[in-house]
Amino acid sequence: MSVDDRLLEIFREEAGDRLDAMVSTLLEIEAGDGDPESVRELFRHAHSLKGTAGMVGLEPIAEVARGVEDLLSDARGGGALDAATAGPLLRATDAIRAAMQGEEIDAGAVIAQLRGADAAEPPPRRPANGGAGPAPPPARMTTLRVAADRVDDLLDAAGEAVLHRRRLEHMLGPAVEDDEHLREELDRGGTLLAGLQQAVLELRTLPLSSIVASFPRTVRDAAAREGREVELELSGVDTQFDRTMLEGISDMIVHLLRNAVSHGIEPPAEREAAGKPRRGTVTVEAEARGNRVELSVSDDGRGVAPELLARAASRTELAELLAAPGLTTMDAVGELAGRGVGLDAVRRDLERLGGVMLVDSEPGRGSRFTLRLPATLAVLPLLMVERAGQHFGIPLATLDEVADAERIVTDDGRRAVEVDGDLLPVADLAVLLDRVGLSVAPGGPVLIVDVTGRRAAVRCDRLLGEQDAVMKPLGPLLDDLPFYLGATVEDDGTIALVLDARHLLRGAAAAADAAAAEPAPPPARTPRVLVVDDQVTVRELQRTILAAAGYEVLTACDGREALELLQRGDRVDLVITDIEMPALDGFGLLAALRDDPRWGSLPVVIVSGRGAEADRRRGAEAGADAWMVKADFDQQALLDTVQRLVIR
Amino acid sequence: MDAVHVRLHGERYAIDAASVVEVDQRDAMTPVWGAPPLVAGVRNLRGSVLPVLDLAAALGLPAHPDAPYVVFVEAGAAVAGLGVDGVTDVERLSSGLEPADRPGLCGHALVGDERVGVIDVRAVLDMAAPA
Repeated sequence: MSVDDRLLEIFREEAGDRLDAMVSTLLEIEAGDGDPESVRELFRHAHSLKGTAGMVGLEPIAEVARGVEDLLSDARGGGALDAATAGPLLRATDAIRAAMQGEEIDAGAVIAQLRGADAAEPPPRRPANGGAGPAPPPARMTTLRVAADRVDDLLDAAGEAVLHRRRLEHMLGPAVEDDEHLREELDRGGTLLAGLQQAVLELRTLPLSSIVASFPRTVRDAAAREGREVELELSGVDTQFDRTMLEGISDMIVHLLRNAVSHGIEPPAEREAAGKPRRGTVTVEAEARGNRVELSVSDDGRGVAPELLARAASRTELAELLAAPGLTTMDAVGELAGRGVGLDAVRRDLERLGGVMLVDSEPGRGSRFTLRLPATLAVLPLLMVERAGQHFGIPLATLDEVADAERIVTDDGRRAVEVDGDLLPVADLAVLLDRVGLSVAPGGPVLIVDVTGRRAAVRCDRLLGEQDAVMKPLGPLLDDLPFYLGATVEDDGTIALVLDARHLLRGAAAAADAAAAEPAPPPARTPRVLVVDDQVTVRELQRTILAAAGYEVLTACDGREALELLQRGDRVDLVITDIEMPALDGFGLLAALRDDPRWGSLPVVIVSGRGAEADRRRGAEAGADAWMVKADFDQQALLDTVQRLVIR
Repeated sequence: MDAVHVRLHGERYAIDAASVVEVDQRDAMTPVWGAPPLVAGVRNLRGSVLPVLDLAAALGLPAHPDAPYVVFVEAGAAVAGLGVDGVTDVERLSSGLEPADRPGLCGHALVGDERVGVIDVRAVLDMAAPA
């Protein structure tokens, strides 16, 4: 699906909602229940339709919407709308709906009948109860739009029910052993709940196809810049991903695609000389494997340098090598970012999602970057362990093996465990969590923690077994604590904290050689843009354009949400905002930002349907850095403006 | 304002009723190793995992991590329990706030003719966030 198709789909959904709202308001007006507020509401909808239809290139709709807006504009001054004008306006909404279904409409004729509305003949009677009109809206798609947090609530409730069943089983204990009937009923309940949980989990997922829209453009732009000829192939786009991961994944793929074009695919002449087709191929593939999902970006280009390949013993090690800051597979770094910096960012984001990166490469034949992700973030298989009476979970995905205490040797006065020929110093779990002076149980096992090939040995008192855990966040107060990913509720109702393996690695490394540690260079930051607009079509359009250009993008649906997001402490380097929005409009947002020393100099770009000199002056006086008009919206102009302001 | 009145170390304190979510008896808590000392632990409240803070320590009083009652309060997106010895009643403050003389208080106010400390919920929660 192209960017345009996807935007059109979003537009249709949004416009459909607006039309529904307009029709019900118009029916009220026709029945004599109109008030000044209903006129203002109609005007807002028409105004939005005009703007978004224009942006997605549906001129006839924009024209009709403008006609509706003009008519309402007059009425808005007068404060109320004559019941007789409802008929022509309803016919105009019918025309817009028909145009959305792909029918040809005569915008001129629709506007003409609107203009005649002032002196209109009595409108055809409609039932005032909002019932059937002459052209009833087409049957809605069998799709529901539900706020994401409602689905999360449902998922939480299902998770709670599963936990409660386990707790019940735990309490019944021996009684279950002796009573076959009870056992059967409990098992049946377990199966039902597992089915429910699975069904809700599926609600939380989306196919890869929902994010591929910007990929062709990314490849085309990078190819044009680098003088390459590249074809993009997509496969496995039906593969389901956790919705919470998809946005992050999209950015990673864009990164990898740009890398594949600039560092992988050779210039056409070089390819021909090597006996390859002039046109290179970049492939994005997704595949579900058990409770993991694999996503890969591969190219048929020059591959990784043989010297690097020789230094890497495994696919994870090759990924580590390539992601090391400052390394690039080209002698001269192209206009696009060096591979090292970009890949390092991808790797870090991936780890945050609980994933790992693997790289295969063959000189002269190409490379494949694979992102291996847990299938969902909501349920995590854990190994439960105990230390000093406390229970902890550690994700199985970050555990290599568990070593018996007998394998501990003394090396240079320190305890260590040998794993695959490496001697790993043994660290105490309690000490890694800032608790010192707690003796370890004799024979306590050693966990070999493994994150993308980096390993650490961590000792605890005993193992408690595996558990599929529903992860609970620790909440805003404790979120910044580096030690834990979250918490889970055990069968008996107590809470066990879930360890973050990355912290264990850092802690173990720091303990092993605090002296040798060098401060890491600060990572290059991807500029982050906050897009504020109440129209989802506009937000999506701007998000797609900015993300394809390499920006990180956050969105908010009005000024109030934008302020909340900033106040939460999310870093933002630039704000793009609409003016007319509910709750808090663009001027209000701008004023609030300029009032706060933290954001006094945060660049703000206004992209508005309004372009009048007076508005622009008001914007400039309020401290806007740039003003762009939606009607003459130009991608490149937006990108140029954003780049100029972000660099400043 | 209406305030929930609590007892702690024999003294009376007021918490803005608007910020109080729920009051519960002490329940099993899991200590959070590595968290600031103010965090007495985390506990389950109807499916959510919530931190419980040592209110006494936040007010500069002797630490009291095993206080028998917990008043759950919210400030912004953050929700946490505050450990107290008892909850007496909900009563309107009979005066405005006078400046506070201790951390964790937003001021003092009169209830009847008794002078009570009014808890600064936001400040106490902020004290518990990792540095």
